[in-house]
This record gives sequence, structure tokens and C-alpha cells, in this order.
Amino acid sequence: MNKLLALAASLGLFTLAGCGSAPPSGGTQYIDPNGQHGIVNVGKINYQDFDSAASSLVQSLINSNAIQPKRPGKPSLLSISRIINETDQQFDTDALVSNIRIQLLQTGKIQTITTFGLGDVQDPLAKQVADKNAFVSNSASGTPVPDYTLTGKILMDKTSAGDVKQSAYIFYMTLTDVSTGTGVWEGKAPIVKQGKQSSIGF
Amino acid sequence: MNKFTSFFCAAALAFTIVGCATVNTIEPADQRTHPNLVPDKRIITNSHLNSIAYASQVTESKVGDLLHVQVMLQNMTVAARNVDYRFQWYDNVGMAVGTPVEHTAFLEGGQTIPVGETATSPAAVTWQLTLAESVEQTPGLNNNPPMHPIK
Repeated sequence: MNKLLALAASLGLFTLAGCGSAPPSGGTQYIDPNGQHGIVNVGKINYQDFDSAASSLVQSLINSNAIQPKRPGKPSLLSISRIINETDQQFDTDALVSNIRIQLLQTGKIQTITTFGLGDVQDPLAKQVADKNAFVSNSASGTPVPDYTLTGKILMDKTSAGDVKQSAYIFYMTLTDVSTGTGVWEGKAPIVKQGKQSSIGF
Repeated sequence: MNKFTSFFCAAALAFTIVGCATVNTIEPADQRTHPNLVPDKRIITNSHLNSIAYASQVTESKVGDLLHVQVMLQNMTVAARNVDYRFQWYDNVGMAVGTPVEHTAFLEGGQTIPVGETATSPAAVTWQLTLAESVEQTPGLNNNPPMHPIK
């Protein structure tokens, strides 16, 4: 009986302690932003979903070899066009686009233009300086023209069966070669989640 | 109820809970591909994980000046499982390049699938694949086991 009690106590202790790090018990702790410890919601696009979708899209774009150098020895220039959020959630599309820009810049094949874009430019001060320099030097424009533009759309589909909820978020991207006006790459990164947390999302 | 019946009922219940979702696979019998196989070094700390995501083949290729790696993961059990994986890239002096992004692979029982990644920097010359068995997430709890590297 004593042995049985000891075994039960050990098992209980092991169950409580678990194999990984201890869960927060009312407190707050830092977690690996790129790891699997982040909170996942079935009815919401989580931080790690943007990372995963951006990575999948960049991988597809790199592997397609769609980006060709337009000037020998120099990276091609990219501008971000319209990114449409068709989901029921409010978020800054930069959560996706900035991840893509960072990874593409690392490849050395692409540089993004920060002084040219739809609506507000990414860096208005840099645009002012470039325009002023162009005026002083009497050149046509201080703003470089992109070789490629990137546009996209984020779609959503929610469904349920019984108490199981499913959310699908599909990230579409298209790369257009400005010189020809044709789409040279299209990519899709679906994120599909299932769960029973009825209090979240739906 | 005798011992045999009890054991049979328990086994049937366990099988029902775990489920069985194996796949059948068909491919050309003749060798049409010539993969650049890469010898690998493995650190296995979780033998169960190794049976649900066994790295059966490691190949490398180049996409322009970027290194591409592909690992064939084989689920050697009869149950469908999700496995989280990520690639960390390193340059020629062993420094980490870029930030790894975690992905999830879905493996049916007996299925073999490729997982791979292209380095996002030409400086990356080697890599490390880390695998972990996915567990159901409970919001607010970091209830996953630690990841186990294969290098």
C-alpha cells in the first residue's frame, strides 16, 4: 500500500511539474517569440500566424526565382502596393508585410523603396530630403522607381461542426513586374485552426 | 469478466482514443531523382518523437546563391500527429543567421512528407532542424514540451 501511495504521489508530482517549463500561475513570464509557447486562439490571427504566413510566402517567392536582377550587380527595387484585409479582425497589415520585407532584404535580391508608395510613404522625411536633393541638382525626381510591386489580400473562412470551431485565414500575395505589368509570382499561405474554445472568436 | 476480456476491452478503448489514420503511398519504381544526400548528426532526446517524425533523408540544393535543405519526415506509427519544426541557419563561422520561424507539419500514420526551407541569406552555409511534437494548446498555458534538435 505504501509503495502504491509513493507511486501515486510521484505520478502526481510528475503530472504537475510536466516536462517543459512551468505554466504561469497568475504571474507573467517572457516566452520565446519564435517558439511554440505562444497563446493560440481559434478565432483570431495570432502573432505567430503572421510570422508563419510571411515565412511561407517568402519561401515560395525565393524558390520560384521570379525576382530577376534588373541592373547588373544591384538588387531589384520593390514597393509595397495595396494589402487588403478581408477578415473580421482589425490589424495593421504591416504585421505581415514587415516580416516579408525583412526576409527579402536579407536575401540581397531585393531592396524596398521607403519613399514611394500608395498614400503615406513609409519614410516621409527621406522623401523630403530626396525631393530637395533632386530640386537642388535639377534632376527629374529623387524618388526611385520600383522594379517590382507586391500586393495581397487576406481572406477568412469560419465554420463549425458541433462544438468544434474552425478558422481559416488565407494570405494571398502577387508580385508584379512593373516593366511588363504582369504578375510574375503568386503565393498562398493558408493558416487553419480548430478548437473548442467557444468563448473565443465566434 | 476475466483478465483476457478486460485486457481486450482496454486495448480496444486505447486504440479508439488514439485513432488510426494511415496512408497508402504509390510512386514510380525507377529512380528518377538524384538527390544530393547529406550525412547528418542527430541528438535524439525523445524516442517517441523520433518515431512519429523520423528524418529518413536529408538533401541539399541551391536556389541561386541561397542554400536549400529538405528533410523527409516519416511517421512510423499508425496515428496521425502534428509536429512543430523550425530551421536555424548559421554562417561559415557558426554565427546564427536570421530568425527561425516555427511551422507545423501534419503527418498521417505511415506518411512521409518533405519539410524544407531556403536560407534567406547567402551567408547561411549550414542549418539546424529542431522538431517537437505538437500538443493541444490551452490559452494562457505554455503546456508544450521542450524542442529537440537534430544537427
